[in-house]
Amino acid sequence: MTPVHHVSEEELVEFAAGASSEPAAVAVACHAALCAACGARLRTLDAIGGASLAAATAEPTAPGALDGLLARLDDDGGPRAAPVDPAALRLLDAHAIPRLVLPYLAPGAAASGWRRLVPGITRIDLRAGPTGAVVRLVNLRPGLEIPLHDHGGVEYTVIFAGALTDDQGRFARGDISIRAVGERHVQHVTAGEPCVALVVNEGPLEPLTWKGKALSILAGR
Amino acid sequence: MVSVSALLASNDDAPALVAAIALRRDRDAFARLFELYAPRIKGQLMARGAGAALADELTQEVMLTVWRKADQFDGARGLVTTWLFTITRNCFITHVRRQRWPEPEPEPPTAPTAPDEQLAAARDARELRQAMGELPHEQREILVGAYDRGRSLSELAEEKGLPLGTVKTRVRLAMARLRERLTGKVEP
Repeated sequence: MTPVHHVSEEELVEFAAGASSEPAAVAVACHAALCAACGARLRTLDAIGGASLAAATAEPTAPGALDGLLARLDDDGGPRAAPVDPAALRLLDAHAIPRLVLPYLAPGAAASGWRRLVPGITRIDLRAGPTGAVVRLVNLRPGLEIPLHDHGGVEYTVIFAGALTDDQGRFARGDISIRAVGERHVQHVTAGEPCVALVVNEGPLEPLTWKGKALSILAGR
Repeated sequence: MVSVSALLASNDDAPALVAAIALRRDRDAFARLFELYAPRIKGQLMARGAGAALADELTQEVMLTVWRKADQFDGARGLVTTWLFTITRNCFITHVRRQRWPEPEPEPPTAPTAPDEQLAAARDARELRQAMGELPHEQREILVGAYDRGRSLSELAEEKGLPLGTVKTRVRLAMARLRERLTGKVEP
């Protein structure tokens, strides 16, 4: 399936320029990894970066910089590859989650697996700054309703499995939903299959129903 | 200091220099690439806010990455300057902003790059640079602010005293124009 909900041009530009917040960048990258069209757009946008580098002010490098660097090439053993946690790989592959998520999993997070957030929702928290943003993988029960809520910061949702619907339509594998502060929505998990997604909240969720408020308290927010 | 004409001429040599590093661990090619691009890399790092000493250190990191990853450069996907930009951007994000860079997964390996594809990429890049030069000033300055200085669109809106919506519109207009010039070849 080709994604139908994409990242806006402006947000792709911010990402390619390296100006996105880390949580937003993770969401945009997850979408781009699953969306050939946005992946191709990013390559064009990187080329703009190339043009900007070619036109950048040339600052003379420090005296001896090249000689020092050439000396380092001799004993350069290459980058030290970080050890990969097999449990983390299994978790990501089980849900066809792009492997770019790997470095954001805390050590041991994959081994402890999905942990209950509220009834119907389990989650694995990811580490991505700045503090204040919540970045997590969520696993939503089929048929679940996420009651009407507003957002204290931008919310990014990228779907890996199953589907979610709200007033903007149906979001399935690879689709990204980006909701700004003040954009309220109710989300429904499509029946029949759990929905696995990346969710980034750059500000707190603001539940607008009693049920939502109760769930929010349960979630410890 | 490298002259502008030497730099323009070098754009065609750069892929060969990277290939020489990848295939033969050619130190002369590496030194040449350093002379051509290290000052621009340092300039861009300083534009993003790094001091001269830090920018020198990071320029060395970028060039070391070039040495290590020369075999990953694919001329069909873009120019050497594009590749260098992505390494510089990622290096700045890792070492200055202390964040990790989420690289969207590379596509499945493709067949070796045909020379005509390399030419096409180079031609597109030259057209792109020309098209960028022809953008209205208010559109170009937003792209420059984002790419050269790493500013987010809301930061740029604040700097210019403009509503965020206006900045976003300028980005969209700029991209529509650039895309038009790129003949839809790089855009499916």
